[in-house]
Amino acid sequence: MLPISSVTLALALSYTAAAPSGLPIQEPVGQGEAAPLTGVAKLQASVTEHTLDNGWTFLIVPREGAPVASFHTYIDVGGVFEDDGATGMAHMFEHMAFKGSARLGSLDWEEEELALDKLEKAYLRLRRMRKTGREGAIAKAKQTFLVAQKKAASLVDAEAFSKILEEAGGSSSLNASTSAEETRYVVSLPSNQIELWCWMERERFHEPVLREFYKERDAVMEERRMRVESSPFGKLIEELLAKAFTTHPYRRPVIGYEADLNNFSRTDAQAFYAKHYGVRRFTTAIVGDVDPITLVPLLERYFSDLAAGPEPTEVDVTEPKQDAERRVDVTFPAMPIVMAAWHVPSRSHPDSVALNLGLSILGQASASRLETSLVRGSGQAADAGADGGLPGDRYPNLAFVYGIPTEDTPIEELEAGIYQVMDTFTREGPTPAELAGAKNRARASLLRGLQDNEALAADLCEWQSKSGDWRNLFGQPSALAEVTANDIQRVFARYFTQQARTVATLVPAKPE
Amino acid sequence: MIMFKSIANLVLALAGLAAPGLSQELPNSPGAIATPSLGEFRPPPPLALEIQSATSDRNATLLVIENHDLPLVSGRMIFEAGTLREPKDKPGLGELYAEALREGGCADFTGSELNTWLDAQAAQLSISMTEDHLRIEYSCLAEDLEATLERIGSLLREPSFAEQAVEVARMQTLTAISRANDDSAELAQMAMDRLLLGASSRFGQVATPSSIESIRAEDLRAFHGTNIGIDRLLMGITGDVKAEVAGRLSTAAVAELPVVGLASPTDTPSFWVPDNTTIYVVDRPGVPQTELLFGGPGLAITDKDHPALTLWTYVVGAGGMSNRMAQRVRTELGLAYGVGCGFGSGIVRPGQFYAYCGTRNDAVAEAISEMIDVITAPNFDLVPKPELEAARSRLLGSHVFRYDSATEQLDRAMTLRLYGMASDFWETNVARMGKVTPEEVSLAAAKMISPARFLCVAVGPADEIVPKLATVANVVLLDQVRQAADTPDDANALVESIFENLGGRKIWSDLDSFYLKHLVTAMGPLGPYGLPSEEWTTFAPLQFRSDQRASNGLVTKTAIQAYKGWSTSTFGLTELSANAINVRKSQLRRSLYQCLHRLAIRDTGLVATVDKAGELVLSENGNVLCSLAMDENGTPVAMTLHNGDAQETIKLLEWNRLGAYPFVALTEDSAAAQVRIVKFIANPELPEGHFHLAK
Repeated sequence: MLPISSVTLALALSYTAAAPSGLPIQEPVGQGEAAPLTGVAKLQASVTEHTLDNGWTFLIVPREGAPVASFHTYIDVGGVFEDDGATGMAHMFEHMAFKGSARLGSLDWEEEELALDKLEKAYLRLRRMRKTGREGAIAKAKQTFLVAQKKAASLVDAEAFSKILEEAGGSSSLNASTSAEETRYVVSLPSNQIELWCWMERERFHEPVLREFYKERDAVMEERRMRVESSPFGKLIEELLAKAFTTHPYRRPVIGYEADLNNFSRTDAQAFYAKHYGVRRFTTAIVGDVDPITLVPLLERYFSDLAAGPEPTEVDVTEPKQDAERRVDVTFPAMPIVMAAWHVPSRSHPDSVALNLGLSILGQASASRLETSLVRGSGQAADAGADGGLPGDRYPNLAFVYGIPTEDTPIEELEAGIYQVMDTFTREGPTPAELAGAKNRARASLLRGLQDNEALAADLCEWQSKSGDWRNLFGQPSALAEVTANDIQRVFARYFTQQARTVATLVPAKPE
Repeated sequence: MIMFKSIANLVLALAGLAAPGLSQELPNSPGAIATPSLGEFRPPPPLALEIQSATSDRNATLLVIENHDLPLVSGRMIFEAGTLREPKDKPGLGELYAEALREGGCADFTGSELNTWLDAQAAQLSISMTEDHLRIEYSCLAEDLEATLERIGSLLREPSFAEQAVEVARMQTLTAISRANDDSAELAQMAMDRLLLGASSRFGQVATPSSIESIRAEDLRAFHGTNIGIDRLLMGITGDVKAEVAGRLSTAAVAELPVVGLASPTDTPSFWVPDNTTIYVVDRPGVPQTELLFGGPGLAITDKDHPALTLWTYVVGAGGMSNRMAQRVRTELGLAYGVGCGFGSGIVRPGQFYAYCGTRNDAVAEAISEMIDVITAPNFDLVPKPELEAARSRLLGSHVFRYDSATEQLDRAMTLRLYGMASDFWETNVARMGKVTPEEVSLAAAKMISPARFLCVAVGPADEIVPKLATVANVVLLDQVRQAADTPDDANALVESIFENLGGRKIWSDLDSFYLKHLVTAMGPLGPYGLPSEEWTTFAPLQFRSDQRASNGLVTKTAIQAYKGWSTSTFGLTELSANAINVRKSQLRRSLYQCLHRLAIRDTGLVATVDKAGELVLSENGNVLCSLAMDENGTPVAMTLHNGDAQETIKLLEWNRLGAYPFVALTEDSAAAQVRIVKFIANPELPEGHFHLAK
């Protein structure tokens, strides 16, 4: 039994979606020679790219097999685009994108529209009253709000949107996720439901109605309690990011701070939608039993009139260079954990390839340096690992290591052990076998991702969005093949310094 | 790659479609969209190959699905050797064994060398334990299949269970035991298994630090030697390999494995539910959210009521967001992020009823009440037909995804083989679900759920949630999830004196079933009368049967097996309700011989204390089951049965002995009715099907 493993860590991060390791996995095996990837070229050749005039890009991959198709819509909108004081809004909107439209989800739209307006006015008044601190006025405003909420709820055809896709075969796959950088909406359906998907996706993004906003906000707060406030790793990561970043929006939790969640309004969410949900930021991959010849006209018919939206703005904030170690102790009723993180460049930086290969050898392989030294060797750790891309990798981000001590190991001792392993690795560099293995694993990782419709759709969207071209998923092996042991030593020495380090330690709460 | 942008207009023109945009009306509702027929999709079954043993005439089977799209292969080796077959006094051995097998190396290579090799080849290997099986899964580049199988074969033939690997596995397991306290969902599930399935049963017992510490490398070798043989093996391979090559490589890997003989039969779980709805609280201070988990008996997938219960599950609590519980508790009330309920599917034994929800601490009472309301509603009202059809669509509409990859197809085929199910089972099951009626759904749920007897676990800060939960139902604070509190010394002394006077602890420890023949004598309207009766009881699983002869010579039979029960009368055979079964089981758990057996095996779920009157009080999950009064020699002379606030005392008037076992020969209840026991047989041989009454 593996006790904690990186699965726990992945779960702690999961509302930030499945962050890829960042390895440009198109690279070759062995000593710099590119081995042909049987089947990959054929798959690549089968991809059809079609961009509508409004900028929405579709990637279509027909595959033989079961009569099913996976749909993955990837939108370049995540937590980094939120305003201060409105953290969690990207994620909140993701939840609202399941609430339907004027004609989907309402028992009587004319009446409901009036009720929603009344409810929003009541909420905004309640928010104002809360700021005054006048208890009587707050109670009165709250009562008005609750009455308006009940009236609006009585006009809702609950879960009408989800119901249609679930009954069409999407009950086990309909989902969405939000990270610091993107929001994803996914479903897999039998292939005779393609036009239904078009209808529903248009309905979702054309003129969504943000009904049941405040009840859904309550559900999101429960999500926060589950993923952050009751979770050792969730809590630790939130504090680590807040400490490591002083300026960049990566410092904020994607799920949002409790105070912000308690404060923002439906009006705020509508403004967020208007500002960020132009379809020029959309990429959709459709993989499975589909035919581009018939599908493209359908996509044109359903989506070409949607608004491109305003020109996206990039996050124009540079995190100041960190010049001294930062530390944070997180007191929490759980057993100790240590995480250390360092600032590293974005995925587009030339050093990222060597960094990710090094992290794979340090903390991801079966015989990784951390596992071999601290788990199987000294027995100080029950689990230890390393990864990058925290909380995203579009901008300069964090690479991190973590360690979970065994029963009798002081946390300080494990932390020192981790640095010792890293120092040795940096000083000696990877062995030729370690380096070749890491490259080989990257190649196999590509292949494994191609096996599954949903995974392939997700990868295509991500590479299209983050690198500007989905072909980079399959791309040529030059960058990875050229990485040498010296490159890894160089980037480790450059980035993993004590002064650039932020350490978060989970300290068990003492019983009262 | 087709650069479609450049030819899109051409295609549109050829297709005779209008130019893109709004000039062509879109359907105004999903219902207006024409849905073409999907056509039948039935992937061919895997190819089955016999893998010959090199040393005997016993074979293993290999199922192969070729798939040459990508140069990858993945495979499974499944041995009939799960945690249910680990020694009963060493819980946790199975998982420790799997980890030590994976990491311990063999005669040809060390665990470290294996990991280095796997890393270099980008191959993946995992070894895990389920209740019934040891499961080995691997994935590799097609060119490495031979070398990967060679290494797995070596591990299986000559595992080292090297001391260091065992110690690392032990240390990781011990840490995991401690860390489980940091996870509300895991704590809740552990507590539920303990309560619902019995702390000392195979299904409810969990590894403890002392049980893990007691496991030695020789225990792991013994487990391996007993269970890992070619005659217990089913293999599956899918990917870029020809079937005949897969067969040859698999033969080379496993042909030398020994023959170990058929696996012993495993237990069937026996479910316990409280007499009244009870919430067991596990204290987890300092967290803002409470995890709620309900549990109860469920059905095996082969049970005739299973399709109806699956539909109930989709109506009430699963299959997306549009079920009743998600709509009510999450969407309408905003009380939870994750919430749901349903009946899990067991294959060879019953699954479990479950309902779960994480909610803020101050909302626990509201959340539990709402969940119970949602769960019980369909017991009384027929599910409206449109709602049932919608649930059926959600269930069956996604069925095709159970076959959408070669790996899925392989796993489904392997499941059929492992459990000896008909090759068309999945299709038949879908067909059965297609025909379930609203009446069947309501009846099946009503049969399984007792509305006033819910078993619930709440994990959260006790000081905050107990007062709120107490407004909803009985609340019991669980001291420890893994182990019962230590038995106090005075209770231990009483227990020892009992065994000293009743033939010693060993014989009661060995008792797992008994037969009784007795005669009830009582005063009727026409004077004293006697009714002869025979009874059979087994403890694990808890099963019961009685054959009672009436004065007219007719025999009334009653039997309980697992979650089912029957009774015969002049009107024929009737099935007992879940409530009636639970009431009878509750009585059986209070029975004298069952209590003596549980005391003898030091069942951690049974807590013994001494009350002010000097009686030995036996409790389970915070509820008093019974108390025993002893004479000066330590022989039990009276037993008081507790059922909530109700109590009944039975005098144990005479003890007798037939063979090794003393037994009570005469009892008298509070109504002065006496029972004369004329025969007692310990551990009787029972014919198969003895506890199953059929027409």
